[in-house]
Amino acid sequence: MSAVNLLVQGVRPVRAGRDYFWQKLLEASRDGGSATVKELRGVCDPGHDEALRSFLARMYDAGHVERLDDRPPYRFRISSPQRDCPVISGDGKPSLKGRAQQQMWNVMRRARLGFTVEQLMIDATTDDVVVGFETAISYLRLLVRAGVVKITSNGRKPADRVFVLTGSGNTGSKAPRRMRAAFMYDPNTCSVLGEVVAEEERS
Amino acid sequence: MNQNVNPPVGFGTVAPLKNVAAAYSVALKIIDRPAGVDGLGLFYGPSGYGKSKASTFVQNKTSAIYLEVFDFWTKRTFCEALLAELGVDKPKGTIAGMMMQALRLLQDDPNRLMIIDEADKLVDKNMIELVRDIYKGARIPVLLVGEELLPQKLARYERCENRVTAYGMANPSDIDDARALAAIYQRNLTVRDDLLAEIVIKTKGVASRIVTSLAEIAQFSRANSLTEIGLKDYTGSFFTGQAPRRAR
Repeated sequence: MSAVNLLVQGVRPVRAGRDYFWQKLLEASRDGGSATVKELRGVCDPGHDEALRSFLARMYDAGHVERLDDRPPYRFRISSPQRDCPVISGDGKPSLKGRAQQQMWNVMRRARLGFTVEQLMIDATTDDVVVGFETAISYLRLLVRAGVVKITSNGRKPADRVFVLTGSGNTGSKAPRRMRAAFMYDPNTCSVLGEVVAEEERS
Repeated sequence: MNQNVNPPVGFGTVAPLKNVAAAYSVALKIIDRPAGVDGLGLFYGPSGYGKSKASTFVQNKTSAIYLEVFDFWTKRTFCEALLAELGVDKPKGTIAGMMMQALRLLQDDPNRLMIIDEADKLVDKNMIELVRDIYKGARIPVLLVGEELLPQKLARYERCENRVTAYGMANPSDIDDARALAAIYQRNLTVRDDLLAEIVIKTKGVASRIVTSLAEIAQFSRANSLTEIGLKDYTGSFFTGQAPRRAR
């Protein structure tokens, strides 16, 4: 087993994926507008046609997107506008995936005096989204490793530690996301081969 | 001993607290308002009654936009903070330009709640008309959270006051709230009602002081190997928020 340190010099969001498709369709839907698949494809990176079609079909089935014409080329528009793409599960029902991270982030941004894991769990939990110890501590570990959260009081046990979100780490309302990527590493040249695409892991 | 001996009422969430329920109820009223009804709501009360906890719960439940107003804010900082919350990186421009941009973004999500905490500061600084403009321009539900005098302060601005359609008042915690707080914060300890009643009296129902007193009681219980505690067992102090006085 070998390990490498990656020095990431920059990121560029992929012009595809559910959030991007939603954003583009939202822009097209303003002031009574709409868009065809071809028009949406024109503002996406190449190679995502199937993902776009699948996205539109899922959103249409879930009632978030309307189809305006009876015959192709169909025009689509968002039926009930909202800034963020609705999260739906495999069966088309609303899903709470990603909410735990967002709720923890909301709490961290407001807890300027710091917080323990238990306080974070209590304040971030609602009746529909329960933030458990493992969920909270694993997200905090990632944020601490990223330098976004600091430990201000280092207790013997994780439960005794006091954490605080740094001022520079509080970059905005959207919670930092846990991403994962698989890539090819060439041990001969100590380099990463090709472009690395990371995808979000929602919990 | 590490077992959960408290009843599982509201385990892990502040949802059962009356002030949380009151704030959430105001939020739901303005979110689910009938067509043509204004969507401005007020939730107000003295500090320490748990308004911030309540608004955190509401923010998380409704995925609301949240703004906390500071004393040093100007109209410009208000607009910049609002745009930053809406995902705009390094907002800039004139106040009018930023407001137009904010309205356009808010219109993309016409029923998303906006919570403005410490809203009385907007009134004090003659900036409350910005909220009215946001409300008028984007028609989103807006929940103003602030101190006890917020309704009276707002009354000076008739054009804003007329738009308020839901009110909620933060009240001192009662014994039910104290019981819920004990179940949330001290899960491994049973605190009997007589002691809870005493905590409520001593702390004047201030939620933050109840939580601190419960922590002191838990420490006392651990030191005395108790898993259940009542008034007669407890010889420690309560956190009243008053500075200790020198005995003469």
